[in-house]
Amino acid sequence: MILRRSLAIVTVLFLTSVPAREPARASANAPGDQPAKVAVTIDNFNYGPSTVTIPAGTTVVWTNQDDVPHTVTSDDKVFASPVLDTGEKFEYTFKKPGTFPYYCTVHPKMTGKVVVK
Amino acid sequence: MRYFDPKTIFLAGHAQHIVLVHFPIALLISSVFFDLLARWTGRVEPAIAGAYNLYAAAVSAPFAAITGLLAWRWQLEGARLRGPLLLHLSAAAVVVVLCGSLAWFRWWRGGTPGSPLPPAFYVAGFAAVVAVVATAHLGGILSGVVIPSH
Repeated sequence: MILRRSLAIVTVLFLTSVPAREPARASANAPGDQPAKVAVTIDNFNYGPSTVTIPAGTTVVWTNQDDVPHTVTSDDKVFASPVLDTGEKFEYTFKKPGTFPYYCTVHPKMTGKVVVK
Repeated sequence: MRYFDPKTIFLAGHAQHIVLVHFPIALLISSVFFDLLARWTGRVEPAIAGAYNLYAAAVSAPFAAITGLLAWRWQLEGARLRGPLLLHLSAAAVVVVLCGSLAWFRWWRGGTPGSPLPPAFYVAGFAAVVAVVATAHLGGILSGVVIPSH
């Protein structure tokens, strides 16, 4: 009886001590710090990851690692990069919540999405 | 989504290059095919078809090249010439030169339609076809139709 109770207490303590895994998200810094940055890689005619979920105030940095030029252009004209050659980057800070789909104007079947909470 | 927006159709950044480029591709390949057919059959009709296809290819190739340069300037904002873009431009230049040279030679040579062409002409024609196929393949990569393996 005592052994069973002890085992139950140890089990509960163990389970509550292991933090639950949360989906990967951009870590928000304390107020006053530089906005957090999330990287999106452009390679092989894909945006990776294709969907990013971020808190408001986060900066997304797109880097073209492909052999051909691409752009990052919002469907709603909220943001639009110049043509990015290999190695070039484009940054945009999302200040307001919402969903922001985007695509490449050179290769329109390349699409991605930024979800701002 | 509007599929037939006039602004998109007529003012596209690609400057209609992806439309016009198919003319010299098809005309050059057809020309070489008809020349080989003429040599094999000994008939004059394929030789005439081959000649006029070649002349049309030589006339249309510079227009396709010019729209390609405009597409580079307008849609790609003058991106650095490297990788597939540089290869595509280089191969296209070879096609334009070969096409023009073959057409000029044929026109200057004159002669009876259907009379045998020198072997070097067929070799150059084959080289032009190889160059146009390579150019087209690289164009497919640049436009995202062909995804190269990494």
